[in-house]
Amino acid sequence: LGSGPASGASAQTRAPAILTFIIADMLAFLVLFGLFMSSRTGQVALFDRSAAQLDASLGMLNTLILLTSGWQVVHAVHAARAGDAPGTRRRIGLALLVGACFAVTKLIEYHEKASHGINLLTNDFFMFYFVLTGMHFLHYLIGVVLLVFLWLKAGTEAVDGPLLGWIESGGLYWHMVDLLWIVLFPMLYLIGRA
Amino acid sequence: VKPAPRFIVADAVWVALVLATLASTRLVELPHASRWTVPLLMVLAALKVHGVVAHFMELNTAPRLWRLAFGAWIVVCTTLIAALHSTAASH
Repeated sequence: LGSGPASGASAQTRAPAILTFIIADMLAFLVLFGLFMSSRTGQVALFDRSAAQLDASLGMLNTLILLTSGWQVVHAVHAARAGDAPGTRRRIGLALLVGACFAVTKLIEYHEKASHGINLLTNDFFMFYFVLTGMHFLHYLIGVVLLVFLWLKAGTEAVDGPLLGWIESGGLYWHMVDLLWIVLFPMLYLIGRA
Repeated sequence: VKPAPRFIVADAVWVALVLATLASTRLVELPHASRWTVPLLMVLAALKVHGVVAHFMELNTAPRLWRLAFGAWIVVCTTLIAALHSTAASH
């Protein structure tokens, strides 16, 4: 949170800025979660039948992928604070490598749904499923671009200088992608089976 | 350049998050789901989000306002999902 010794005033102001953006984004998702659950109230059988068509093991795998990728980002931030550029790059690289598996799994899932003729217009459950996971996927893609940018910058700049604030902010954003999926996973994949 | 710490609190938190994820999935596979299954799922989700917020995002050391904002989001979000699920089930 901009607390590194060399992060300076710019990082101190950048971290609250990114936190404001993150909490606003999380509130938008909270509204969507509420709309999904409200819509489910009127058509429980349809929502549960549709949820059963999702592959919960893929949803679980994606949770594990994002948690592991986020964990590597935590290590990258610690390495950056220690001024360890190769360590920072290695950890960000690992976070990207593991995180890339999320896209593969998600695309497999979307392809599998499309091959069964399931799309946004199939019913209300799948409308929410594609909108919620699609919006999340967009956030994920922005996070990947941020991590690639940080990985490249860590190869050319001191990681405990002004770049540290960017690494911390990029890390905070990546964790938001992670925590939104932590809620999406049980809501979309699990409660319909409970 | 100081060596980056080899082991940090986040390592233990990651293990706990993985175990909680496996437990969530196993919970819905149990043959006798009860009315407590979904509230339990959402408690596990709340604990997991708290783990990420406190130890991955390091907001456990952030100013009180940020801790309150994120804490409130976790409570409202998971309670809302569990409550609307319970409302639907009672219809």
